[in-house]
Amino acid sequence: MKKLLAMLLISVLMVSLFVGCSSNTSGSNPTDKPTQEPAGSSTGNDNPGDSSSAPEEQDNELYTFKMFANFTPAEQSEADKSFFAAVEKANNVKIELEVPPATNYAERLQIMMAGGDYPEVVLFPGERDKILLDAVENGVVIPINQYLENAPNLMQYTYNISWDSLKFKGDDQIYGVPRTSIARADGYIVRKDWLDNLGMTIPEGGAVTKDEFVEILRAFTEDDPDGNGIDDTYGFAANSDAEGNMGPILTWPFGLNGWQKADKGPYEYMNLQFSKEHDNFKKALEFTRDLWAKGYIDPDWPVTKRETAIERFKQGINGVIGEFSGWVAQYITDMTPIFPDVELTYITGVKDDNGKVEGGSFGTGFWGLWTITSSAEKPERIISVFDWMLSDEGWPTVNYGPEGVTYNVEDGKMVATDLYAKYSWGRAILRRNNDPAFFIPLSTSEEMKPKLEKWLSTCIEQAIFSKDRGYRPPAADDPVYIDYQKTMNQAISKIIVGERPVSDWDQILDEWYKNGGEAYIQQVNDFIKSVEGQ
Amino acid sequence: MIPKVNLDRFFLRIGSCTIYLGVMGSMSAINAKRLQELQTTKPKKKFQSYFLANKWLYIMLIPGLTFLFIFHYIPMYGIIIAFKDFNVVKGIFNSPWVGLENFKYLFKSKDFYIILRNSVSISLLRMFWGFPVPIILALMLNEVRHIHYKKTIQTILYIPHFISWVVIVGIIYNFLSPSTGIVNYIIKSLGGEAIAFLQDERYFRSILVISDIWKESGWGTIIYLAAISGIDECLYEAAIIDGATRLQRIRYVTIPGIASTIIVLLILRSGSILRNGFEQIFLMYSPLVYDVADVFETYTYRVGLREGRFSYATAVGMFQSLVGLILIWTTNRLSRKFGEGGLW
Repeated sequence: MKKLLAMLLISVLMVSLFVGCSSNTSGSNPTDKPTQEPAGSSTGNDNPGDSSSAPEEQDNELYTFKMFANFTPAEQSEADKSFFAAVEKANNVKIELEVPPATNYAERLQIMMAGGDYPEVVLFPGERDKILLDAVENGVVIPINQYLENAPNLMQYTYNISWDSLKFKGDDQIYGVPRTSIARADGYIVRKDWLDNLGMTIPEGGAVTKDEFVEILRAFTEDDPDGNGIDDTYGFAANSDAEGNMGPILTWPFGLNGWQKADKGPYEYMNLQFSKEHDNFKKALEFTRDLWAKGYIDPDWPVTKRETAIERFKQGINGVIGEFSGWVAQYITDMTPIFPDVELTYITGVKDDNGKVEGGSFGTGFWGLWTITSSAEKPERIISVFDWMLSDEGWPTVNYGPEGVTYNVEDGKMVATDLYAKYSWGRAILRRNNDPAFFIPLSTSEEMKPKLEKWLSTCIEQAIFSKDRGYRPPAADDPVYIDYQKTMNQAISKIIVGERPVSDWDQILDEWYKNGGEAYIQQVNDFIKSVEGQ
Repeated sequence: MIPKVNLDRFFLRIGSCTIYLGVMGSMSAINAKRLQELQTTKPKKKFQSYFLANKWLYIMLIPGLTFLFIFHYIPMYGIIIAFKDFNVVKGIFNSPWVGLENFKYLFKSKDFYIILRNSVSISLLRMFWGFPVPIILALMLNEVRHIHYKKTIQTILYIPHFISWVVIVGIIYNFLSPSTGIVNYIIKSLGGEAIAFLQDERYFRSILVISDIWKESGWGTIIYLAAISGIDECLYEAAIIDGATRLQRIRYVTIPGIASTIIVLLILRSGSILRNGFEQIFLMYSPLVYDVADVFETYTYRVGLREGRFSYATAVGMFQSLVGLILIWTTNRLSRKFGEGGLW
């Protein structure tokens, strides 16, 4: 009778209980960790300067600190273990790593911050994250200026602009060590075998004009570059950004290089995308819209995420993809099983109307930052570990892994061992800002090396920084402004796919100004003036 | 020490809590009926002796209730952040109060009405097309006489439930892609033009509803099959003797037999009218279809969680829950009024 129903309901309940249990355990896991030393960790109100009252004395005691970081892959390899062992030995420290899975790093970071037991060193993925600003505001993240005085290598191999962007409170206090990477303006990986089939070449310098770029996309779409007799290829492998938004596929050749000094208009500094006096952004939209209408861009673009775009390029659906030149060798390795004769080359950039290639580098020369929290008893020791990593002694270890483990020196040349391919965590901590060799793996073939060096140096030379230094003005947190972002992004997507005319952009921009955009521009201007004036 | 709360799980819990309460409610309804029977047959028997007679059942209830209390009721205090300007570092109690600021903002936001419209319309579409499917499937399965055949079909129907949305959306992409998808390949080979289904507002909601039905309706049959198996065989025998055809047996015995289960599930379903789940829509939508696809979950993610506005996200979640509660209560009242019995 109804027994069966009741039994079933009970078993459904039981199953859900177990599901509930498991989700709860995983959620509360990190907070179950034993509490670390009490040193003011729960309040975060202690004066962070206290512990450094006697920094002059050389401190040789073994110092243990926890490091909350995001590394991939999730498993620490033997090579990575030996890297940390080398760091610990050289600096007489012990580093206790806490590495949550990369996919929910942000969530785990929030739980950790809410928990109140702060590891001494915490990696924040973005310098604009609200949680970081909250932590700075509440004294959990401490300023490190005084310790940087004894860190010559950190100072030497980090962009000044990166330090500027970590002055969160508008004064001189710096709140973290930027995870520097070399600033580049990257170009495009291109199917060289397709170019050869069609009798096309990339000009000697590596850069092309807009017309040449379009011609390559056209030929890849219409002229059957893979020679299989079927119309199944497209030119450009485009993808939407992390938030799903689309944008013009070329911006730099239209003079859109982030925040720069304006040649006209009411503001001293301007991001031309927002300028009413310039039609650069409209031209860029028009250009992309035209390519889309002609079918030269992957028709799946609006629903394609970055990983999918890479996959589709590797599957031979598209022939051009915006990418870092250092990955060319990896692309060839990945594609060879499908296309044994695959050849790739590189377009270093698309020229603007003056024949020049110039492009905004990502952010401010770094990807995330290492902060030191109020739990740290000896912040100077932590900074000295970071400093060592960029020193002449530490840098080769960071770059290639420990000698004898990931590589051996034979006849004065570094030769990678099997473990070299497994070495990755150490390379994601700090980098010198002036060493392109970092992007040329030891395993690169002799044939590829000179090409790679040339592409890399071109991309580094043509990079320019956006003057806003990644600053997030308070206006950007205004709910009205945040809401309008959606309307704006939606409009950009619709203009590109031809659902709205390009001329609509004027009206969208007007609305943007009314919905907090004006304050946004003003505040960014004030900020740039304050740092440029220094 | 500052208490730790995992926010998104917390809301999941509040959601599932409603279901638990529902299930618990229906169970206690059954118990209540038995109690009533006991009381009418033996009016003098005191509650105490009743309790003692069933003490093991009550003891067995303790772990479940404890779980419910610790993990579903205690964390509910976190809901106060909807009325605060929550700051992760300061914690729940030390963040400043802002009153109804978050709610005011929600109702003022011009996106609110679009999102409300989308949430309700997608939900109603799912209910209209999706709710009857498991019932029909269960009725059909019940008529299958070959036991192995029946089991095999049941298993095949359940399987999609265990595939995650990420995988299913990947499959949908590959099927519907305007460049490489098989559907467009067929359209093109029949002389048509490729259609970018997922980029088109006209098709998007249908794809959502159809994929949802495909994934979940098989799983939904379980509860109806259980209800059907609870119907007294005598009723069928009597119907056969009266000369009822198979369709008439379904119409006059099976369907009335599971009516109360259908009502209970419909009431529960009405409580989640503002909830569409996050994963499926988030994985499939793009700015091109925001106008028909943006729902509370995706909005909360974009505007609340990505921007670190947890208080606002909580306020939105609370609004959804309140509307759900009101709807459950109303449908329950209506159901009782029309004599179909209710959850409580």
